[in-house]
Amino acid sequence: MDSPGKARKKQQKSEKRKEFLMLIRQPGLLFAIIFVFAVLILFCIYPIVRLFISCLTDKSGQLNLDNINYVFTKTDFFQAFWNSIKLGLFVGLMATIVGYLYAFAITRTKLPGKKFFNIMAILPILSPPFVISLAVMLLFGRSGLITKNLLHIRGNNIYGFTWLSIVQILSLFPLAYLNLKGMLETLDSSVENASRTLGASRLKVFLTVTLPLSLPGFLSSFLIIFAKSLCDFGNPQVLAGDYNVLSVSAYLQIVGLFDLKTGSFIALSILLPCMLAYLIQNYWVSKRSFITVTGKATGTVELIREKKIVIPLFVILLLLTLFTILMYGTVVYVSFVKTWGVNWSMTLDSYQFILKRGERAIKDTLLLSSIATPCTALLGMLIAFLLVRKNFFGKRLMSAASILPFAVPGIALGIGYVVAFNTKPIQLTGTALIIIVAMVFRTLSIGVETGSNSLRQVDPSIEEAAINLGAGNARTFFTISLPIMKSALFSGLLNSFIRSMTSVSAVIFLVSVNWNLLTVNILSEIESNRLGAASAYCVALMVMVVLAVGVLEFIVNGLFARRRRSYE
Amino acid sequence: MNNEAVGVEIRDLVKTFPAFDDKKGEVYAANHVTLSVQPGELVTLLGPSGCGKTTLLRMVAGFLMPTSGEIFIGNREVSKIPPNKRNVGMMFQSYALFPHMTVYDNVAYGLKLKHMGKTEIRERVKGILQLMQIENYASRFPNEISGGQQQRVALARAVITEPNVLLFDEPLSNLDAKLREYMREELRKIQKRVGITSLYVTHDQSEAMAISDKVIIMRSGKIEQAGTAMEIYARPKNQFVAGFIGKANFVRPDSVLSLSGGKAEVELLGRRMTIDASEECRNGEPCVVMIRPEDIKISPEGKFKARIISKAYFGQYIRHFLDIAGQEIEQMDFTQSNAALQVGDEIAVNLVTDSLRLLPLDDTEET
Ligand SMILES: Nc1ncnc2c1ncn2[C@@H]1O[C@H](COP(=O)(O)OP(=O)(O)O)[C@@H](O)[C@H]1O
Ligand SMILES: [Mg+2]
Repeated sequence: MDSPGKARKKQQKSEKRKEFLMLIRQPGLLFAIIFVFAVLILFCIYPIVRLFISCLTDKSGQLNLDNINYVFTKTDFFQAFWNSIKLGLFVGLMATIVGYLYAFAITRTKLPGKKFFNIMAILPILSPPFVISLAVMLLFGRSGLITKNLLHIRGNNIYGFTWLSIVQILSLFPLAYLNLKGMLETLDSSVENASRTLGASRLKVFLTVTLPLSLPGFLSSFLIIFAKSLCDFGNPQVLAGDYNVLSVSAYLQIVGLFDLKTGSFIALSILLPCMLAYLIQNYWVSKRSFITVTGKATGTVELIREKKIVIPLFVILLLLTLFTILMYGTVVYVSFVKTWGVNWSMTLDSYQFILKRGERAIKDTLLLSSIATPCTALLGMLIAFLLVRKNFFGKRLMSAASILPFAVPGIALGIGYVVAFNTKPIQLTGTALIIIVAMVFRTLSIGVETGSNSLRQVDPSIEEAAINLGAGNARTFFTISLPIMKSALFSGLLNSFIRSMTSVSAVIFLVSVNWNLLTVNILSEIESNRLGAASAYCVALMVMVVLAVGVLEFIVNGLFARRRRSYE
Repeated sequence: MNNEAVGVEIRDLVKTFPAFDDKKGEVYAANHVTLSVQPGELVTLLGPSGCGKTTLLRMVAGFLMPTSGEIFIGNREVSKIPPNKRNVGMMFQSYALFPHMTVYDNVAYGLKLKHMGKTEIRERVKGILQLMQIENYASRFPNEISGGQQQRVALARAVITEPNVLLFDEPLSNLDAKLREYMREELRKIQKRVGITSLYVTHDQSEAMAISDKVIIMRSGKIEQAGTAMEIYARPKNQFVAGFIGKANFVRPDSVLSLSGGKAEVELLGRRMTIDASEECRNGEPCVVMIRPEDIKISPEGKFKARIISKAYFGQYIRHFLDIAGQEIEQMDFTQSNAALQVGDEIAVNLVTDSLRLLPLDDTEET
């Protein structure tokens, strides 16, 4: 006898089968799904799997744990692991606190210059990863302007935990700020207002209502920044010195000792805590959040005006911002100075130098990023479209696979690409293609995310109307969904372009004699202590990013402009 | 338009959704629905919100997969044909106009897909825009025209490709009352002119009665009754249908003396009479008598004594609430000759016994 549950399962199965049959009758859609799965498996899952396999096997492909044994006994792996975790925890906590102060000041108080502070907080997200490290070297290093010339400290040592953590906090707190700002804005302010009207003091409201309600957001920021700090390669490579961390250690194993297997294993060991942080962040914090997000504004918060609260916050924000400006200003200034610390006359020497030495790298970076960006955006929008609007088997896998390269440490992804694509049948190392592919998949999840969010806000019957009129899936996507997603497309394109231009860790193993990148050049200039040239590269990179914003806006607006013609 | 109209037939269609509350159960959005629409006919699905009307339309359009059952358009079983190949036009509740295209491009979209020549497209679009009286708005964007105009654009876009069947999902529900009445006449005119087979969904009974050849009353995924507006109004099968179409008093008879062959002898409000009975009435089961407000006539020779409890003036008619034998009953007086009556007056009334109807008692409190 069939139980009702069984009967229902059967029914669902037959429904699933019908859906599948329908899918087969839409070859375009089926092709799109298969294509997306193929590229995701090849470029997101396969390299990571290969990375695992390569750690656990010897040259002949046999299971072999000697390698792990070697890492545990012959290298300072545990020291580096502990250092990384310590750094991540500290930076996660501090950056989240700073981000929270920032977000609270912007959303809850009557602070002058909010717009300005907002822009200044976002700046570090948009800029190349070394700018702050570089500025710290220039200002506080052995021959730093502040340490040597102003304070007359000789041979100040900036290499190690202290400055590394400061730089990471400065470059990562904007993420916490954006995250917490969104949270504080959607937090139902009527609860706060209610307790205010009940006579609670400001401090009491903050401690008993606002803070507990923002705890999930706080935790989520902490976890994200913890993971980011762990995965960071650029800043530790420049500033860590003797403070050994995993990402640098993996890099050194490969570049210094040509030991791919040890490097792979160390890179993988970053992956685990990193993924764990993302998973907890995703499943625990977002599920159990007790934030009262209502979606609609239920009354505005009464902004805090009391001087004793606003002034300290203002001073903190101002100092932070001034410090950021000082950092960027220094880098720009240095790029025009003849020799930092010795000869302060203004010249264009650094730019002439990078144009001569780095012309190829600049061109390559621009070219490869410009190819990667539209690919990322299109593929991202396509995946968003499939995930949000279509029903098919394996949706979860598709969503997870598209996030994977973003969630894994860049260094692990880069090594994974080397391991997976340096031999036949798919030999890509040394080509432009492998760099483009790394850029595309590293930033893919941004495209998917922006696309999904914007698609969810569009009434699905608009697309159904097109299908109803006889449009196939491809045509619906290109003539209806994509134009409607225009602004999402724009921010997706922009974001992915910036990240492609400024990525370091994922591509550092993929550059070759034929194809080189700006960020890799910056790193080597810093290592050779040619800080003027490094600064000039950074400025060039920032200028290109700003120009890209303009160009992209022009292209996207032109491509999908609402056209009004007269019909006579 | 010139192509031969085809009919629609739905056979034993079932669609279930997993229930939200308990994990085991399921909701029947369509519960063994069988219906047919003759070529060129306009059939209305009428039912309360949530009864499964949209779900049914979406299955015909192909956006939803039926759990079981068959849908025929013409003589073709369509459940394996993707939605873009079904040649079924649909007007969405939200209009779903393409926000990034002008009115002209919205309407032309379907024709462009058919690879029609530019001049022909222009001719046809112009023609339909004129028919809908929106030719002056051709180069506006959807957010630059009014709700009524948007609705016409949606209709123009749906009919211009000459679909076999036209589906309407509460197309008038976003308009204000005045415009709604005007637009439904327009809609009906255009549908008749184009001669297109149509399935029309609404929860507004007057809209259904005004435009349809046939009305189908739905409740919780099930068809309760199908027929012309007149048939359903005069001979509802049960209390739900009677209450949903038009107004009705439901009075428990004092007793049912006999029940057979669609006739019943009942004792009602202290008097014995023979009235029509629904085929769903069963001997021995509780019943009610449907009395439409207009079937109570005030007359000095009336056999029933009544007292006026309240009174309201509506222009075409006066509405009284009457106390007849202890029951509160609504009455509508279209004669204008009893305007002088006052609350508290004792009067006499007659019942139009031909219009009374015995129905099975509905104890699921749902309207
Ligand atoms: N995608 C869905 N998932 C689960 N339940 C649904 C879904 N769509 C509709 N339903 C349920 O099916 C029933 C019928 O819905 P619908 O067809 O939209 O009703 P109507 O259009 O008559 O207001 C409702 O109970 C609704 O909750
Ligand atoms: Mg509906």
